[in-house]
Amino acid sequence: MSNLPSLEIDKDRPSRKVPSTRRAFLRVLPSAIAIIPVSMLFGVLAYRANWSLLEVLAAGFLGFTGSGQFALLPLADTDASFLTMLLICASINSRYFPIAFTTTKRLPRTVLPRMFVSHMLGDEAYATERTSDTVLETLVIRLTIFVFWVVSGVIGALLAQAIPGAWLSSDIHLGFPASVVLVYLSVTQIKMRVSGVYFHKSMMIAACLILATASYEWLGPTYFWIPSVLITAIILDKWKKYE
Amino acid sequence: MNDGSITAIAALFATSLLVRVIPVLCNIQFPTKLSKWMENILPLAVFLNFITYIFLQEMQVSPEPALASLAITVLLAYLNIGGLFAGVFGGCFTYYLLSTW
Repeated sequence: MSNLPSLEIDKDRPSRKVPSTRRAFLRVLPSAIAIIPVSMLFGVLAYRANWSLLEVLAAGFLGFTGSGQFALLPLADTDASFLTMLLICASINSRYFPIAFTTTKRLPRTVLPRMFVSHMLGDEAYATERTSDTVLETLVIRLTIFVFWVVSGVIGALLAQAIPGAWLSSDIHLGFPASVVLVYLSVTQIKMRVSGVYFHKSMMIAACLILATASYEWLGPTYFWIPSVLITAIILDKWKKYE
Repeated sequence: MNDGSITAIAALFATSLLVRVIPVLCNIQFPTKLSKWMENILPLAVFLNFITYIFLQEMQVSPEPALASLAITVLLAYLNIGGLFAGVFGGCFTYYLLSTW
């Protein structure tokens, strides 16, 4: 029983607090790991479309949008105009417009850092962030996802030089882990946000999901975002008032 | 460098400025009611649409495996069993198992 005294000593020590930035990093790490294959796939495809390493790096750093980057690859190949690309990319990413408004309180106040942190806003980061997060925690979460995304894209382009072409034609869906992460984080956020606010939660969520599905089917995956998000928000608001 | 890729990078950057940077730079003072709506209701609407979008997108690639594996992920997230890693592992394992079966 000679080991027991050490436990007593530990008990007397003040508990070491994990810094909030480290906690934020650990919180976002699984999501950051999950996006690696998606970004690497972009790097591989871009390299095979004759993009240089510098261009892959610039697309990740300046663009930083998974779906937008993939969508513009074939358009760049056919030399589509800037306006065409902008219209398509802005439509795909229009969801960020309302999202950006909701996160303004946890951004730096000075212009340049504010611009940089808002540029790093992504789906996974948004789903990981909490309303109570500080500016520093928000920065850690967004920067982690951003760095993982940009670096993985370049690594993918580097690997493309060594990967046999036949591998890429296989049926492995490399983007699936990122979708799973986003679904998991979204459910967690929904659960947290409806708890104690709504009473008929299941019925309300089912109604919103049916409405979003109808909007998706009617307007298509590119243009459904803004109308569907706004209509869903109005329904949620009315539902709350009715209850 | 080729023209197509440079135009694409410029379009990507311009998109980021339009949808992510400009909304937070325009320091609009919203009324309290609207501000609360944007903090509580709007994110909930976004997440519900995220889920719908992912389910429908993935089901276009591989319907049954996507439906089953994402349903498992939803269940694991809702019941909070094993945290994010268990949820992601459960979903991905089911998907790749059903896809290759």
